Amino acid sequence: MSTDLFPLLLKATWQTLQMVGLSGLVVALFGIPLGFLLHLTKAEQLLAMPWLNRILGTVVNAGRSIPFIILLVALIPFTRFVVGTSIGTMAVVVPLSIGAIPFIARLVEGALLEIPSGLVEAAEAMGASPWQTIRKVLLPEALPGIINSITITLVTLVSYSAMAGAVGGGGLGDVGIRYGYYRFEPEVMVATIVVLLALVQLIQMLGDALVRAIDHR
Amino acid sequence: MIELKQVSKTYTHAGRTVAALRPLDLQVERGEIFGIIGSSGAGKSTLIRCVNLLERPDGGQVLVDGLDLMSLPAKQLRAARQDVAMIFQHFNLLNSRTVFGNVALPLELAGADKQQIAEKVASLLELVGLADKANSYPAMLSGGQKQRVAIARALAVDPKVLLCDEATSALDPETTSAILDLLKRINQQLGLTILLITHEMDVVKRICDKVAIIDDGALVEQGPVGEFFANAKTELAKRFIASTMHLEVPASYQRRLHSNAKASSHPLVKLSFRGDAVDAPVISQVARKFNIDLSIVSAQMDYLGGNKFGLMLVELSGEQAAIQDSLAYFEQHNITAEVVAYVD
Repeated sequence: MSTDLFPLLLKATWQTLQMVGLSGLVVALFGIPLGFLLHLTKAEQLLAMPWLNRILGTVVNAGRSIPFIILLVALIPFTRFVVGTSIGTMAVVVPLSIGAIPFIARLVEGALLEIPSGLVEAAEAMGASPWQTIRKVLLPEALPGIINSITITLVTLVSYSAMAGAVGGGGLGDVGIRYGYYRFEPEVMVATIVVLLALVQLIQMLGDALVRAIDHR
Repeated sequence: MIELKQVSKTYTHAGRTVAALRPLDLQVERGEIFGIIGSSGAGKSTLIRCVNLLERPDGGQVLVDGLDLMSLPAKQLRAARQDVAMIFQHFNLLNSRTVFGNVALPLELAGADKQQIAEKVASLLELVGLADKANSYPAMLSGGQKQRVAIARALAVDPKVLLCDEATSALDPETTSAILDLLKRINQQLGLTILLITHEMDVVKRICDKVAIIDDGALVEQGPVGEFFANAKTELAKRFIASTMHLEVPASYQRRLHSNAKASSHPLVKLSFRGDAVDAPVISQVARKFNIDLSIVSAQMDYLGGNKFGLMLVELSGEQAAIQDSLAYFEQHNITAEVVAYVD
């Protein structure tokens, strides 16, 4: 045993939490509205703009088809432009966000699809404006589904963030690879896996509890 | 109150054009309950959705209380829609809101303040008999209760018109009956004009003042319910009316029926009492006058719009000539008599 495990794991966990937390925030901020746009710009929907829908759909698919490890490297110039550097924990937040925004957007689109069209129609019949319908009907009705989408996305971000080591981002995955694999210290590998497992478990439990609390379907 | 002038609507689906509504006119007077009945696919749903422009007609005019809805820009149309409330077959309540929240929604949309909302919602829940369910979520309610919430919600901004899109079709008969009573009560208490569509003649019979039949996108027959039942002209109208009559012949009796007359058999006659049938006791008059016996196999009588309407299956026994005379006598008294079978 050549490595002091505890401080190493603590630091790595903190880095992972930073990456996932920050990118999670950015992803929710941009990805959820994008999901609404994906849904609402479809023909027959509230803000029907089929041309925009086609563009958004293509962009989102493109974003989702690029493997994260490639995105991480390909985005280096953009990352440098946004955060001033292309290495380190903060720098990973950019590709993480770009990679997960299309992902959550599709999930949110799915959550909105589940709302019966009759509800939107009822709002329309009441004289609701499109914005009122979004705020008072679609958003609250889709909220359990949206929270579920956030949970899934956060878990995905945890797993994406394991690749952060490629650009010096640190985090649990990085420790697992460097110590556990390259330096052949299996106990470090196992320890990072246990922490990752606990983290994902915690995220899922919190998400589920939140959904249970607000879901009245 | 509602006036449709030459309203038409066609759909294009996979390159084929289907006429959902042929140019049709409809007039619903203030305070009446107007029913539109038709089979599925006849265009009734398109028709009612054209009244609040959930579907925009291809041509014609839609007037509600004199206001030409199709000429309104989006913002004014939204304001006008507050006068035209709607309830739906599947209720369309928000699962994320309590009963109170659901009824409050149109008030919030209209910009009412909290105090106004609380008072209005409470009185509406009282009206529909759900005052104790204010804090329940729709998922905890029965179908009938959900429709009551939807009705309260529809009434929240004091509309002039209530559109009912198959509002009772998803409910069991008992609940249907209770909801129809509620609609009738609202119509009478608030003077609310109601336009409803349905595929069930029983709904029309129960609460409507006027009725129109829609078939293949056109209104084929319309009028006050009593008159309509009494003098239905089209085959379709007669079929719908027959669907509300439940004349049942017991199975044991059924076996004794033949389609041809024999020396020993008696005719089984279907008597149709129309609205203009006189109130005279025709049955007993026939018995006395022509010295024949009438045995009633099955009968149903209804009073619609003050008119007697009904069907009766009677077995006549007596002299051949006397039976012919009595059939003629029924016809003279506006009772259609038709020999449907012969009984051994």
